[in-house]
Amino acid sequence: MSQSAQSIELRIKDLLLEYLQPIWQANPAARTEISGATNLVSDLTLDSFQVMEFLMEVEDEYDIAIDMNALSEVHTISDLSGVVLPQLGD
Amino acid sequence: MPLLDKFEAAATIRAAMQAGDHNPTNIVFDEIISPTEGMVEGRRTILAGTNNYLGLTFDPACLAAGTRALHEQGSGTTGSRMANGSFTAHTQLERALADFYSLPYAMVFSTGYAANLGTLAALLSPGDAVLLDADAHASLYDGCKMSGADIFRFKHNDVSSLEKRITRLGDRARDCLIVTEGMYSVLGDCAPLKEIVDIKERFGALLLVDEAHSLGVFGERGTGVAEAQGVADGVDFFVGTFSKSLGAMGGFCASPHAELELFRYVSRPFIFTASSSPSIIATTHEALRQISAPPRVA
Repeated sequence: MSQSAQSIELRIKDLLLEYLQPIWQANPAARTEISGATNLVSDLTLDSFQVMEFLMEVEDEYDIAIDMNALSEVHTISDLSGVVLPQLGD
Repeated sequence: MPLLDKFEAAATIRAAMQAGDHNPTNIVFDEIISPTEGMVEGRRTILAGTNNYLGLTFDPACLAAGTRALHEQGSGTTGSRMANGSFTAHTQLERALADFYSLPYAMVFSTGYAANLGTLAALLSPGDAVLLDADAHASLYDGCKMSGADIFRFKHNDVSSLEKRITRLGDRARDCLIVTEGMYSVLGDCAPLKEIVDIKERFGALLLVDEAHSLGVFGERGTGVAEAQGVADGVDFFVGTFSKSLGAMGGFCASPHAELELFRYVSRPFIFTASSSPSIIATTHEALRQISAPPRVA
């Protein structure tokens, strides 16, 4: 069954919230609202290692392989869902 | 954004480090006393942060070989081997490295960084797929990036993560390259090369192992972790550096594949770099000779 960009974005948000829980528990001041426009680096202050780690969670969720070169254009959750969607096929 | 404005973030980080008692990025040795000791801020200090694993930087035979080469062949080569020619010493070191790994082919680069950059950029092309351990050294990542290949990271030393990702490549798995280190510089742990070689063989991929930190340290003959785990025959490309256990500077690639000899014609980090100075080649060769020799019994 094909998935819409919206449903992928929602699922990535859930995954991101799971990923951020221990980080926010350690640093409650970092807690913030998350939307499709949330910037993974500037809004969530994730470092590049954490972004890559989270990306692997997304890969495993959808059983896909994401080329690291594609990430230079990924800044927000919406950008990331845009990379995932074409790999899911019909 | 103006070009120079992006350095503000680095300036902030530097200022924070300078505010402490010791800035770890700004250590100066006033004097080198031995392979393991130096004078830092007026104090005799143990150099625990070096990679001088075998303490060969002051080895009398290495110093003598380097001094002799300096006097006989001069201070530098002043050019690239492809454009200006090789010294016999470069080709002799390549032969010695190939013999050390019991492989037919070896190639010497001017730094360890250039070895990884030059090997990967020659081996991979746009459209190829490479599977890279998440904690692999920056030079391995940069080499993959320079090649233009599609880069897929797997979780550090996680065999199931590698297997999942190589499976996802489908038909491309047959032509992909797996890249790992022997012993990891970041964490000091070793790759599960036995399992990785098994995956490589099942999928028909190639395997590159960076033994930079394991050369001279792991394996009965000192070639690295692949030898220690009994799977050296499963490695397609060994890369490494002369700047750690061999106490000099430079890097290499050794391989069972005859195509390595053709890397010289397509590897830009090899072609467009001046070759290593004769004294560096000489100390490296002597250090390699020492670790290749059977252990001395006291």
